Amino acid sequence: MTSYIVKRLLGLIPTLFLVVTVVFFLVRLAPGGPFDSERAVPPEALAALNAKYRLSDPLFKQYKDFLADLFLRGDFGPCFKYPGRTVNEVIAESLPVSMQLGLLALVFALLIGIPAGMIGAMRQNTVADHAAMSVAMVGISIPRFVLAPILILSLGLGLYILPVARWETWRHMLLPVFCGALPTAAYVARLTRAGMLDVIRSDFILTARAKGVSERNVILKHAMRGGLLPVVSFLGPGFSGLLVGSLVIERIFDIPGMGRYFVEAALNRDYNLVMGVTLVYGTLLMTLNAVVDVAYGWLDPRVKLE
Amino acid sequence: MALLSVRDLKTHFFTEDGVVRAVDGVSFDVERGEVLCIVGESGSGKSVTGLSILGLVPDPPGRIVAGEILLEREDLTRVGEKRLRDIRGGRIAMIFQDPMTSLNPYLSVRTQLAEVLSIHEGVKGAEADKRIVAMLGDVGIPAPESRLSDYPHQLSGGMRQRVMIAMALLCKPDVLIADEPTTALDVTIQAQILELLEKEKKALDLAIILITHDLGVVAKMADRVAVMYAGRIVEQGTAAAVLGRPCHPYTLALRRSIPRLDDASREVLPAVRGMPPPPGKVPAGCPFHPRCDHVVDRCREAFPEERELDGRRLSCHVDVKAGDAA
Amino acid sequence: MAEIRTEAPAVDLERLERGASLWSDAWRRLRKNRVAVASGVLIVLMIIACVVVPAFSGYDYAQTNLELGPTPPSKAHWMGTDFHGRDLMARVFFGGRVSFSVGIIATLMSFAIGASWGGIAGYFGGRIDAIMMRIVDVLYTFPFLIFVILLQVFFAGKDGTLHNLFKTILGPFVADANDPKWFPIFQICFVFAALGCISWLTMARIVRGQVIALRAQPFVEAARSVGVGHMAIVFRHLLPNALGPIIVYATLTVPEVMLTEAFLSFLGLGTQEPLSSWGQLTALGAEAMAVYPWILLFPALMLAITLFSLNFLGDGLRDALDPRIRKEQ
Repeated sequence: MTSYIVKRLLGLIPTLFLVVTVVFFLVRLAPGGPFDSERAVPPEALAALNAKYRLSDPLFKQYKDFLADLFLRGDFGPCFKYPGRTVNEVIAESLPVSMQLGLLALVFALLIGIPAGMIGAMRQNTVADHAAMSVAMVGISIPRFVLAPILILSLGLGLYILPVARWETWRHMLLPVFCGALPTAAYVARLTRAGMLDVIRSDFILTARAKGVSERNVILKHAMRGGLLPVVSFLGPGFSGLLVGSLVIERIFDIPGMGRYFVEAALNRDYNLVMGVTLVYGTLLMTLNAVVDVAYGWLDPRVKLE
Repeated sequence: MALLSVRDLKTHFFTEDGVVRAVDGVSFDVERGEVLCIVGESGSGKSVTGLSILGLVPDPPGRIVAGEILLEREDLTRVGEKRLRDIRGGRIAMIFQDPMTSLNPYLSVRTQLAEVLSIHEGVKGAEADKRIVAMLGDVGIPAPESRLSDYPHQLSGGMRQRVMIAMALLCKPDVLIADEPTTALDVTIQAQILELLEKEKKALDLAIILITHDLGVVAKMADRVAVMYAGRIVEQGTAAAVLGRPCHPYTLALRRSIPRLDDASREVLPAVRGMPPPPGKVPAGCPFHPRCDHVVDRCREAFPEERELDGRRLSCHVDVKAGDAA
Repeated sequence: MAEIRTEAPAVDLERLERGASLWSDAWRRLRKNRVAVASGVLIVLMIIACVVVPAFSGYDYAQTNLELGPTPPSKAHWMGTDFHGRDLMARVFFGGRVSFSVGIIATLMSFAIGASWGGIAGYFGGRIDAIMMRIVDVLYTFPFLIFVILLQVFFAGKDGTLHNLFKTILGPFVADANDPKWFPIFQICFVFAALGCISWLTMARIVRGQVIALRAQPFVEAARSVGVGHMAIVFRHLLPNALGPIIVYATLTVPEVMLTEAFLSFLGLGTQEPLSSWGQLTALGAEAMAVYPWILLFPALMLAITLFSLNFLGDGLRDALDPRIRKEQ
């Protein structure tokens, strides 16, 4: 098991390398540089800026310099659009916020979604089941950027219950986390229900009952392990979806997280910031992916991890 | 009195497409130390009968609608869920057809076996492990201690079925219901498992209800036989009587359809003509009448009452003797 | 030695019925599912409306009326008007055309890529399968969307790299590929392609799973023994039989794609004016939600209803095509 984990983590490195390279060239090959669209900057000033940030160097030299900075000093370089700040600073500030938002949303999604799905499966075709699944359906059919304004208007501004912007106290977190969590919770609920229904039909559940196991333990000890496997598999893409969703959430709720910076950086052609954020996202997700695989292998003894 | 007594059991399924009378008036007794084989084709209701005894029929859509199931003096159809759970695995145990899917793939052998001990006898930990190892050895699993932390997929088919049997017998039940225990196994393993069952029967003075469609298994194991067709028992008695001198046209036809190595004269293998009725579309009167060679008018009208004939109980309007068949 | 002939054996009648009519069986089950049927009907109605309404509403979806500005629903404008005085109903139903096009075409693309990928991987197995599916695994958790965003921002601008590529391809077929009217077409083609590229992964996995299961069937060996080539087997024998789960997944992919497109629109990417999809209309409406709620409400409602219906329909199809009989007998 440990050797598998180590192998997976080591395997991340070449992939990340690939990602970095692809994005690097992708970004730099695009027409227009970070300073091109400034309000009528005189050509000498433009040339000076480009020189300062080494943007007029040949592309491969830029690439080598970038890699050197990154791997030798862990330095992503300066932000082009926020003079005086480095990418590392920006990431250091915004990453914890995004992680908080993301993790809270994920936990929330599981806490809502799994029980909802279980209720649906245990009370199949009853009112409770239909109610839970209808809410889940709403969750996956309404975009976050529609849900958010509705919640803001109704709970935030309309009723003055919850704050609608920034990220200071726990009260600030409620709406954004809920917004982020709901669509994911919906998926989790549906997956849980389907997974549990599948397992409940299995022969070994009949065996468990024939042994005299109580219904509660049939569900908890026998069914859940297999029934929740689809949810475990989903955690990877689920968190990825949450991250992407955070782009929307952070914008609407004015939260100083990485997602907000990413979009701005892309639109502003701030190469270094784009690189930094993309790389951080990539690392996060691939690590999570590896963790999920290990968890799956641990839960299902039939899976051989090699 | 009999150890287990089933009286006029009726288990019906209430589906969108109508009522399916899977078991429609079945009665039999089982004694200690004897093997009763319930034999029939797919859809005859034999498995549902087994499930009904332990109250394991999925509800919805199925339900026991009539009859009694007497375990000594207790009527299992009237007993509460909690008592039923005590009985399941405690006094009556059941094993199933496919050991690959009948064992929980996510739990180790030890966990699954220890569970039975914990529930019924409150035994846990090292004491439980000792009992488990002893039982595994008893059912013929070599080096049982090393098997404790194995998972089902690591065992062969025959070993898995042995584990199932060990699990069922750990708490020394009085009755074992075996639903097609050898159907999913290789022929060579089948014989071993049947021998194991025979051995355990003697060791524990078990009553075994062996549900099967394989007449070879019946011939080898049965003390008594009950032949089921379309939810009813059409003939039941000692193995010698029912298999040796079958009286019901269905039993006769079944026996005739077994190919024999020493019978070179036959050209056409006599299969029972027609097809068994789909559950839910059982013909009126005697359900076998559309396929029967000896049908008379009464057969289409009413199901024959059970009567004694030549040492067995028979449900047939006609008196047919082995040897009457063409 | 005497020939041994057997009479017709006692066949399991149910198995016979089931095997011969998988599709009619599934169709029957689907029909019984009232929610799924209602959803299907709703979608058909919606599509018809999207085709018919903009043509007959009397208003041009692109025609602005700046003096009028945004007005709430009235007899003249059933859904009101938007910021630029355009009739909202015409905009909404035209937007429906765009959304459906995006959904369907992107799904078709993802199907084409995914099914081929998965089919080939599943059929050949071994090293090829391992490599192909490894690629799928690696791509699976990385949000393609990030790349799409980058791609669109950097390369899909007017006269950008991809636009030029598009112009080159278009060149031989039209009078003047440089005519600005082709730019929105390019943009929407970009969206088709981008979204198609995001969704093919799961399709590949599903198809591969199906192919692996079917590959072991005797009819495949029979085909091979008669000399049918590999590719023909994959595309003509295996894929049609794997159709069930593929249809289900495709039906569920369409709403996902629409949602993703809406998301891109919110960020200012995705489809652009005048070919505004529901997502774009919703995003525009969200800006002034408190003041002119109908501008957000109508497109959001249409989008939600369509997504709901597609999801319910997909669920219904999945239940109908599930070969395991739920009601035990």
